Amino acid sequence: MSPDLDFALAARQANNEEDNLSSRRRLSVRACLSSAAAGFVLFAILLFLVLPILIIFPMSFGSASYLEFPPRGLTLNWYQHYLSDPEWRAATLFSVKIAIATTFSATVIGTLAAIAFARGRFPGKSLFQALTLSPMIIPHIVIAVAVFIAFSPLNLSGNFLGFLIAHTMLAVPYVVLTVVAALQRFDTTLELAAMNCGAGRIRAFFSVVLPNIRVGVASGAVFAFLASFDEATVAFFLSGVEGKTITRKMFEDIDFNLTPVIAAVSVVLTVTSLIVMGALHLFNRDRTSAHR
Amino acid sequence: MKGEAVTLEQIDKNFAKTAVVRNVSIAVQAGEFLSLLGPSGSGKTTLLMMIAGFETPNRGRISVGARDITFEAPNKRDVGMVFQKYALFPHMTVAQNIAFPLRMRRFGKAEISDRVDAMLATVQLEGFADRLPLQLSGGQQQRVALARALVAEPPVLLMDEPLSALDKKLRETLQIEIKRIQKNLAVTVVYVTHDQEEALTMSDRIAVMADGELMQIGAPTDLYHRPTNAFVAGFIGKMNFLDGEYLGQDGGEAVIRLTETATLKCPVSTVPAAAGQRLTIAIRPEDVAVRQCDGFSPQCVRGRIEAALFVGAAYVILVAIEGHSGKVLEARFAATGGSQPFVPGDTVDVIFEPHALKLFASQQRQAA
Amino acid sequence: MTKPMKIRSLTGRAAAPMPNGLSARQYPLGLSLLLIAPLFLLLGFGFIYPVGRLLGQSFFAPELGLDNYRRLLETSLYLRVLIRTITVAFVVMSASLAIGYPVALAMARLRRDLSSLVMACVLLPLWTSALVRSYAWIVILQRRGLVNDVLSGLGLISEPLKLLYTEGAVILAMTHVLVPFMILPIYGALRAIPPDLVQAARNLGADRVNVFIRILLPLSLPGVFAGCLMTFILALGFYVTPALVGGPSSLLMATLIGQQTTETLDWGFAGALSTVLLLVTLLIVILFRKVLSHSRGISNVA
Ligand SMILES: Nc1ncnc2c1ncn2[C@@H]1O[C@H](COP(=O)(O)OP(=O)(O)OP(=O)(O)O)[C@@H](O)[C@H]1O
Ligand SMILES: [Mg+2]
Repeated sequence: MSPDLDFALAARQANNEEDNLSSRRRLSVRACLSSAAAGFVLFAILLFLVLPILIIFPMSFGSASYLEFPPRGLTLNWYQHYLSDPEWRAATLFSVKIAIATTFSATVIGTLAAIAFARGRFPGKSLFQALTLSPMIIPHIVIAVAVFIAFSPLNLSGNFLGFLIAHTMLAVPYVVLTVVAALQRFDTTLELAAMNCGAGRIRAFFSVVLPNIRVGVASGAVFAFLASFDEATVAFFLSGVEGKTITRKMFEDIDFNLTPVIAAVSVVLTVTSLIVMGALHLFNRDRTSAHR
Repeated sequence: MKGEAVTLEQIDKNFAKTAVVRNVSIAVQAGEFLSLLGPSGSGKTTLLMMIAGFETPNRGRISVGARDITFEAPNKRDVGMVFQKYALFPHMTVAQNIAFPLRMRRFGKAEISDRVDAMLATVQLEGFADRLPLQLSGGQQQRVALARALVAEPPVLLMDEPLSALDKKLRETLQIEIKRIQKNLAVTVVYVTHDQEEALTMSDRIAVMADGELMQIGAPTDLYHRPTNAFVAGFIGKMNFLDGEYLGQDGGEAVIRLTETATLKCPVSTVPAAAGQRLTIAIRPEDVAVRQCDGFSPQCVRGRIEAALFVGAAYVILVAIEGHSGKVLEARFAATGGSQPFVPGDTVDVIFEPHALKLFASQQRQAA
Repeated sequence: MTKPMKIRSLTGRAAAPMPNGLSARQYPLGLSLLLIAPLFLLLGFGFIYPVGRLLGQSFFAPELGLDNYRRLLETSLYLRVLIRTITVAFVVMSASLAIGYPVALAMARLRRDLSSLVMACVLLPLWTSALVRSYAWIVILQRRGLVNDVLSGLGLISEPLKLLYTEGAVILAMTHVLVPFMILPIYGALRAIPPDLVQAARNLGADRVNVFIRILLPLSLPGVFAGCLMTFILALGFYVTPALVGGPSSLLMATLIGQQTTETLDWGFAGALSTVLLLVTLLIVILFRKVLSHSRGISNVA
């Protein structure tokens, strides 16, 4: 190619580019505007999502005895109130006991069932699977009322065992879902290998299967804990004068006695959830990085 | 430790009503290295799974030594296994993986550690005890799997294509190593492979499977030189198959018409066809002699060179036989210096060495 | 190996021998049944029996017959509550979709650090008890709450507005509570779209809008449907939030069922209301399933 021609071509191209450029610049101004608008909308939505939760924190430290935002003085009064009130303490203890027991029973029952769902064969399996997950879909009000009506005559309302049964039933689907998912990722050949090495089904499960589905089981356990600890609907109906969960107590106080103590309790509930989820996150990251 | 015999008697296995293994009987001798060879889907893995106890046959009996293990639980069989993708426990170190069978057998701590060390030495992985499987190369993982399968000194070792994921060079190294370890331990090995070269070099005997059936079992040389059916003949090594007509016996030799003008004699008395019927003639490429056309001679057919290739150690020529509608015939002879003596288009005489001819019934299944 | 070693027989408990033709990859029937037995007992006693009893009661209490259902259908108040419940659920679902889709899109398409930030903003409410969030809305919307404070501080209003205990408050708070259930499935669907698909579309000359309309939107539809289904059925049966931020004028099915149970103690009627609510929920699930399987076909083609 001759240098002349080269130059001519380059000039043409530059010309074209200029045309392109101006139209592109116009476009990019529009793009900028639209992405600024999009960013603003996104920001507004995110504020809507988190702000209602975040304002509880300063409120729980506000010194006024009615709700006040922004708070004028700072105090730990409401937390002290919460901690020293025997009713709050009893409710908290009751909730924690139920949540821990529920976590345990839901994780065990759910994991066993998940194994049967993932690997076993028995008649009516898919029907039973659907039934297991249905507490997630059926309105909780229906479950709550049903459990309340059925358990009251059996002296199971307002009582630890009643709550344990009801909350385990609500929490089990989460465990089943996470553990089935983990089992589906698990290579069953490893279990065969364990049996070939001389392990029976049970030992193969504990020494080879369980360590490899740990993340799923742990996630299920955390969800089960929160499903119980944060649960309010069934707790509202099933609570009695004696056995009252923290959520039921909060429910009552919001309706009748709206003091900043509730803000303090809300902070306690939220921080508990965050800690539990954060711990799960760390645990899972450790497990996955250990395998890398 | 001594290997034990493995006996399979009339094994049938169905998966959802499809027969995957049909009436297979194999007697593996103590200390023997037996390979299961066959095309994909022929039921090799299934057979191995049944010996390991992961599948149960629908019919038949499996025994190790004098023990009937047909319905024995997998963890009670004392049969080691190397899985195709190794199946190492990802959450355990190399040493923990190897120690696992010993822990299951409740060995003491000291003995476990001694044996694991000895095993690591055997598979030449001394420095790797504390690595996790994912920190090892494929060949190293393969060695760990072998060590884990052998550490409890099972009398029988099963291996399912243990080298198929490795490159050729590593495969050859490990073939030799596996053979060495097997000899030292005198363990009975049932080895599944796709690779006939691997089977030929490693095995005492090879069982060839096709479509769930046992086609032939025998020493590598037996299978190569004396295949009992067209499938094995075609599956092991290269083989030419030609269609012919059996005319009858003549002085203890079978007479076969290959083309209108050419008949072949073959020194066999039992022919898998009645006189006047068609049959299949098989001959290995290296048994086909080709020379420049010089008129008629016995066992000789006229042909035309289609292609002449140099493949390193040998010349390969492809000949179309005059008056025969079948495939082209492959001939192969050692390249001893000089240049390719044939050019495409040449008319040549193709000579069939009588003793190299094999006859099979014409409807028999052939390897693809 | 160098040392003499003894062979030891295997110990440990035996797995049951398998019957003819079974595979060790699958657990045998007996073991499977044993594994689900605890769940079976739990669901039987804690779920099937109570719910069955509640639904059954609608036909038996106070006496055998369809009286409860007749009452439900003949009282315009109850019918209005039912229609309002469905309407509110639909509005909440739509609002969640309108709010949730942009967030899901941002999470899927933004830079990693930014998208984690957005993710955190979604997970924070998800991990916070619905009770706490309802409480937060009370604080914001009440007469001396945040909104009224700000508005009167700006001099826009002289009298505090009645915001709480209205249908609007219910919708607002419920949307806030349920929107994460909309965002996560959509995000999942968007994440599953291979990035080179978008690059290919850009390469073929599609601009951002076209990429969104022709690629991202159709391929995210399954997630949209899953999210809509989830928010809709959760909204239908939600108790906590409407009970706290709603008033008598915004009575919903869940609150009504609660009242019948604890205040009027009319369990037969509570059962009838529950049955109707369940049927509506079931209907919605079936409807969505139909649409979902249809949309799968579409998105597979796209
Ligand atoms: N669990 C199973 N369920 C149903 N069919 C199966 C199962 N396992 C194997 N098969 C079928 O059985 C036949 C034999 O399979 P097998 O795995 O034994 O073949 P193979 O000889 O090992 O093949 P390859 O060389 O490809 O590994 C195949 O047709 C396969 O599809
Ligand atoms: Mg195989």
